[in-house]
Amino acid sequence: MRSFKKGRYFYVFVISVAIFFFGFLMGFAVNTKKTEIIETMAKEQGLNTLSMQLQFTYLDYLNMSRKTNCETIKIALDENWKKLCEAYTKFVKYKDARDSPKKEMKLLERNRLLNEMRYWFLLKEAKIHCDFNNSVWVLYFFSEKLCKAKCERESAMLEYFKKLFGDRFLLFYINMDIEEPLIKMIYKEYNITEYPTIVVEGEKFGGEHSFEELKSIICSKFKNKQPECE
Amino acid sequence: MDFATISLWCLYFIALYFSIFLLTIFLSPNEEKLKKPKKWPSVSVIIPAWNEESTIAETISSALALDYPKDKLKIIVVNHGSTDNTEKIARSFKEVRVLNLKRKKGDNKAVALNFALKHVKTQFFACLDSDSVVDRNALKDMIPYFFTSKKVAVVTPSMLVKSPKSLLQALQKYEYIVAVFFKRLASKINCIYVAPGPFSVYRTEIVKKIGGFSEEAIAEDMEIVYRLQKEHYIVKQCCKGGYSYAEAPKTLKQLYKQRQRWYGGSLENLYKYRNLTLRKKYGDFGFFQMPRNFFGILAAVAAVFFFFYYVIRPILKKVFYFYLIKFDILTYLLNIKFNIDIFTIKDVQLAFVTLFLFLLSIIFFAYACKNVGEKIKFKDLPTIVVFFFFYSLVLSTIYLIVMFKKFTNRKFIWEK
Repeated sequence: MRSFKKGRYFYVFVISVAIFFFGFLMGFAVNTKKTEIIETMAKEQGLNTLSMQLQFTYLDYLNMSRKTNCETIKIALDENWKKLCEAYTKFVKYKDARDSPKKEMKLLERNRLLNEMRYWFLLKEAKIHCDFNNSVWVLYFFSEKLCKAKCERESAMLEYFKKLFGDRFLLFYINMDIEEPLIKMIYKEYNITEYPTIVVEGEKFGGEHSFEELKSIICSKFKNKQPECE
Repeated sequence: MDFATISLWCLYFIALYFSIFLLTIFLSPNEEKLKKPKKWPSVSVIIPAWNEESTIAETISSALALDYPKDKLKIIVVNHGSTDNTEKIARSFKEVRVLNLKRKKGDNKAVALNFALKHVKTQFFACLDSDSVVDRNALKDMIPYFFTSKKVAVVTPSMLVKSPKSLLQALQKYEYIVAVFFKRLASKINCIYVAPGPFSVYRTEIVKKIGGFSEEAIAEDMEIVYRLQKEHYIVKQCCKGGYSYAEAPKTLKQLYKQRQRWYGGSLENLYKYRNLTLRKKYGDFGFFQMPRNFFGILAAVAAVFFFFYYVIRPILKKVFYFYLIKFDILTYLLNIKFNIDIFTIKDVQLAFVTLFLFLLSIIFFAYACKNVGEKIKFKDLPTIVVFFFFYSLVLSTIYLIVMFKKFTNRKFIWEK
């Protein structure tokens, strides 16, 4: 009879499971921390937009023209946008990780979306009173379920333009897979019938676009000439 | 979770299980101390040769230089139908017995070995490939293992690469070093499954009893060990010394040809002896080594698949992205932000297990080098990096090709 220590097989199995389990625990701890960070950032953004809303209301209350305070509004908007972008980058990294908690991600994404929409409303309102001609906002409607390849291509190009124009290009990702009544309202307002669709400064452009088409659309919406458009 | 993720997790768990198992063997106490026999037994060294005029002299010289009583050592060269000067060179050594064997179509090394075996009258015999050399102390290092039990049928050498010159040979050097280390571990639980051509020593009586070497097998040196394991004999790896040096392939083409035989043989034997798997009467060989060998196939397939999935696919995606943005790579580069934070770590669980396995590999690698007295110098680091991250991928790809050939019933021949 050959040597065969059953015990070794068993304790090796236990050690392997323990290492795996420890890995899971670490993953859980790190993911909890990531969620905490994103939630804190979302709360901060919520406070920032609330602060801006109050600033607008206060100006109205004082019967002061918002035009005279455009500079202050611009600074607040710019700062808030930077934080939104930072939060978005972190969110995408977290979402892309294979071990991200899927249910929680939906809530976080909804939260992110609402914050961005709140910002977008303020931006639109500010643009009515102030002369923010040097920026263009884009609502980008996509679906991970319904248009994977097309939307990925469109996203890649929009992401590129975001890099190219920097803070002058305000891109809002609207994931149509998220259950959110506000999204449905915006969807109806712009009569979105296909994915991907972009709404640039209020004008809708449905379907997938080529690089040149996107560039031409974006450049046409800038009121001032942009060096990148030449 | 997608299929790739689940597969990856399963593979990681199995790899982790085998690694920890090896670690427990590594940490277990060493074998009993070996005693030198009072009287050294007689040994024949068989050198099968087929058109080896460039290396045969060195091989014979190394066998003759063995530190062993000369009256107990017999050198037999089997000239297996050479058409060059192999026979002439072999005959120039007075101490060598040269046997001529006509070469038939499809003949392999096993034919030459079986032919020589008929002429072997000594208690033990060693096989020495005609392109390899043996360390002068090897035989005295190896013979004592036969006296630990009458069931010891083979003692395998610590096979290293003979004077590596190119990068490919340097990579094989590390591969052989690691293989020696793992074989030394496997030897502790009688799980050796191959006896390399460069100087494995056999107990003549047992080999004759089981019918010699298989002439149908692609890798006769593996088949015989599987057969011995099936018959419950003991196969030992020389744990101290017992060095032999094999000529490693210089080019990828040569490497491919060599591995075609090794991996083809591996697949063939795994299939032939599949019934040994998870059978209690075969002990650790059935419960550890056989599943591990099967896992080797799976790991090779997975390595190639995951390399394409996790490395090539993202690269292609990036290239496509650059195509979409009209190759404005400058804008892309200028906007890269190196924000290293908690979000940079993706898939923590997998990263943790990967890190654990990687650290274990480094520990094993360091011990493997120490084990054979190989000192790692700073200048060797690039080769070691290539060895760790790319070489196994090359071998896995070859394994895949061999598997494809095997499953499509393409024949292997004993190629040089």
